[in-house]
Amino acid sequence: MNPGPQIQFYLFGKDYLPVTDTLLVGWLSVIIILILAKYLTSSLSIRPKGKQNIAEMIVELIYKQIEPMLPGEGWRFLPFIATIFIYVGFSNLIGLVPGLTSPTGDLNTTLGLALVVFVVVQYEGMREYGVWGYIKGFAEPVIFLLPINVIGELAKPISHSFRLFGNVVGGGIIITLIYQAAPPLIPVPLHAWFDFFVGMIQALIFGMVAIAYISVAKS
Amino acid sequence: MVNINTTMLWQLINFFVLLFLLRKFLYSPIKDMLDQRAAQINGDLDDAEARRKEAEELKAKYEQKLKDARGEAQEIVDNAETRANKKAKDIINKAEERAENLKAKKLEEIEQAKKEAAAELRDSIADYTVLAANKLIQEQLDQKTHQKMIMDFIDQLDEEKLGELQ
Repeated sequence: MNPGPQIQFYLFGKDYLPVTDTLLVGWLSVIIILILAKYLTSSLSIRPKGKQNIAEMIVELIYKQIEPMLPGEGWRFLPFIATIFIYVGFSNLIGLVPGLTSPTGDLNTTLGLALVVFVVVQYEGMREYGVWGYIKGFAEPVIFLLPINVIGELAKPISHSFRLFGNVVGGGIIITLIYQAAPPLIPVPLHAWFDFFVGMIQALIFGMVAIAYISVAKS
Repeated sequence: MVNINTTMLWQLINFFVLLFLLRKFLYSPIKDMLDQRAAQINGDLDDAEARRKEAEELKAKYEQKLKDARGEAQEIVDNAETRANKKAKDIINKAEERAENLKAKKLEEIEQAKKEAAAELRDSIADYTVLAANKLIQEQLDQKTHQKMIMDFIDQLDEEKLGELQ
């Protein structure tokens, strides 16, 4: 048993360009999400019907998560946050399909996303207070808290990424263990539980934490 | 299990490609649609509000007009009533006057007639009295009585010495 991403082949035969199963599923996820988005928004009208309602519901649901924490900037952050929600959520869900591994079960995915969030958080902080003002904020309320604040800030992407990664991989490991211990029929509800509910909740948490970090940096 | 490598870069590219394309295919169209709808609903609501106001103004105007018309009608009715009353009074007055005149005239006529009748009656009575007296005298004065009366008269003349020459 070897949980986590499995290297499938090397791009152009180079050792430093491995292609893992999680990356392949990630590409697949992107393609499916884009097809779905294109389908859902293929015939928009002022009076929504059917699939347009679903698309609007998703967008508005995410917007309603952002707006209360970043008042007045819901639409500015929507593309970024919504893409996190959708990509992470879909990546978690796609693990339901037998034979596919969740891209979020790969630390490369979650840490990558967490680092993007980290960069956005720093950018927004500096945009709000100016570069020097933002940096000075780490030395408050007293100067000797500076190292602690910096470590705390650097720990954010780590905790952010490992939380999602740990949950997805942990769920995967438990499922694998139960698969080995029990007949394949029994784990189905468990599989659904770990991959569906935990997956959705972790996607929600990942996105909400991203919003919270941005909100904290701006406040 | 935890192996950080270049797939992180690929995943980031995935994320940004998805971000870019979803923005184009999902967020922007949906936001445009929501904005458009909100604008339309706002417009519709404003329109409805304006129409409601307009309707209220019209209603007030019509109510005022109705009130005016009612007042006018009342005035006309009142005028007509007053005029009718006045006319009726005039008619009655005239009638009364005429009746009075007529009465006076009739009374006068009656008076006249009465006078005439009285005069006539007087004449008639005189005639009849004479006639009756004549008749009575004719009937009662027979030869003897006549003679006696003449004699009495003559005696009376004697008694009073009327016939005596002085």
